[in-house]
Amino acid sequence: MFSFIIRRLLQSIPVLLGISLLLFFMMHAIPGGPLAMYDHEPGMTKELLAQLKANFGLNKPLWVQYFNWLGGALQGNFGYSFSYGVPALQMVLQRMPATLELMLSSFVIAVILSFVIGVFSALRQYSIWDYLLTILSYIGVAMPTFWLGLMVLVLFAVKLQWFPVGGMSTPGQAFSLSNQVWHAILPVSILALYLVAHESRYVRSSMLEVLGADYIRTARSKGLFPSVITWKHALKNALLPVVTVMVMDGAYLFGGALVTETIFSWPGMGRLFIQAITQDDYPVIMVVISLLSVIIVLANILADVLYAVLDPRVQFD
Amino acid sequence: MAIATEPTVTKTFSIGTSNQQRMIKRIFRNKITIIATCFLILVALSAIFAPWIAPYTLNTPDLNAMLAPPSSVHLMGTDDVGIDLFTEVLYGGRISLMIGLSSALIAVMIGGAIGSIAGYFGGTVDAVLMRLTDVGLSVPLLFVILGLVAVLGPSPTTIVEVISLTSWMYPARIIRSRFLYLKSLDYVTATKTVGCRNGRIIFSHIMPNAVAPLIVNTTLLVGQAIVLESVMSFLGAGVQPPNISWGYLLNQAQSYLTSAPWLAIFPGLMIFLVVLCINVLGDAVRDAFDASYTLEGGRS
Repeated sequence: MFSFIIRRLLQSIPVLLGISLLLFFMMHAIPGGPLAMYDHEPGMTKELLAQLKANFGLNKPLWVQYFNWLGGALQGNFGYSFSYGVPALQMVLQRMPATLELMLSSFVIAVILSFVIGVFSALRQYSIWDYLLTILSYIGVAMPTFWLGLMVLVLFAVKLQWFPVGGMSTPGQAFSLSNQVWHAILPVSILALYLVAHESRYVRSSMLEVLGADYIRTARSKGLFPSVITWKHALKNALLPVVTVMVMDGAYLFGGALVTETIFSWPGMGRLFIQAITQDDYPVIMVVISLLSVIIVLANILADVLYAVLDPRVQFD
Repeated sequence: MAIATEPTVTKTFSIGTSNQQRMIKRIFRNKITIIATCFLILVALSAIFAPWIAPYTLNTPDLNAMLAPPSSVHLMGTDDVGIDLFTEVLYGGRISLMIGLSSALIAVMIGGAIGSIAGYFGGTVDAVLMRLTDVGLSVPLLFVILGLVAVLGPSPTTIVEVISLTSWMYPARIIRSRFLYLKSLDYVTATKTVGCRNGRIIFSHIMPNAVAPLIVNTTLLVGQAIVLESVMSFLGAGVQPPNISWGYLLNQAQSYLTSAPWLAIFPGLMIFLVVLCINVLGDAVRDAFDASYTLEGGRS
């Protein structure tokens, strides 16, 4: 298994290099180049600009610049934020825990709910409940998250005032878990909704496939309790194809978190990113995209490894 | 599967109703699919004919009816300067649907080209192109789109380019796997034997048999592109005035969520309903194709 993981890691190197090329291209497509912001600086002479270019190595051939940048990036040096003058990587890492908190709680809730819903409707295939849940999942998948977020915000936070309108905790108050949870309920449920709608369908169809298998019929004919068959014998195998879908959905969560954080003023990485977009803070934009790409690549490897670990029929070859 | 998409063959082999007619029947055997399709046609027509249907001319403020709630005079209410929201939604649909349709079509064309070349030639070409696809699938989509628009500047054309450049990966994979299967069939070997050029084999002989699964994907891509555009515009990095889209209207509605919630309700409802109907239609088409696969045993 160890060599399998190593091989998958090695295989991801060309992909990561490709991503870095894409990012490098993006940086050079910036109108006027990376030094554009000095163009209208008073007292900026041509000589000074040339000097700056030489200092930053921008007068070298493009491929030299690429390797310089890549070397810096590998050492965690992504340059300084244009707006705040602090290292861009540090800024992003500071905001990461808030985003991860939001994402992980949504992910865990979504996984549990989609298993319950998926198994429930698989056991009652073609019943009224099954149809109802199918319709709901159609609605959940098509629902624009940001719109639903706005509607929920207006209804529950502004009109009914059951929940706060935004933020992670009440400002000025000492840390308390209940306060945090209270703030997290709306954003977490909005973020989890799409996942539940999407994944419960996979659980359902995967479960239906397994329930039709011969070994389940054998288990039934042996007189095992239906609950044991469902949760012990069937679910184990039904879980396999779902794992991949769920890890892939984890990558989607970053995009969802971006939108949810904006609506609920969640002080995470997504909001920092939007801020960077509006302020043309390119180093911060680059850091976020590079970091997330690496996470997604690692998540894909994790999905492969998990699949192989969970299913003994899969060989590490 | 092959017969359903090739009219010339259809004429020779069909008895009674043609395969295409049967396919259409199979797609629309469900009442919900018919309703969804009718709704989509209605929305498309009202977007195309917006200047004739719209009750008011676009961008004419009515200072006597600022933030007016929905009524018989203003079907969807008015915004902060008294512009009729129904008119704006009609015009906004033009941009939203245009961007959705064109980016999906371009994405499918890019994906089709990359997938067919990779699948047909195999070897190094395949390896390189598939790594490229992996790159596309491994980037955080929404972040890259927003980053690219920040760099390139937002205009409807840029938005279409950026969305299509980030959505071609699934079509490419689908087409590639079809090509891998089809190129090993005897009829392709036969065309090679008689000296067909590669281009001709790809376009005239394999492509017609490979496009069916792509149609389903295109349908879903349109919905996905509409959502992407609206998210971009909602976050302020998409369509800019004088152009308006449903996402842009939602962005504008944010400031009046409590005083005029209808400004947010109606544009969002349009996005939701259009995407829902597109998904319903896409599923119906997929089921119809699946049925034809099993009938002919074509998919292996």
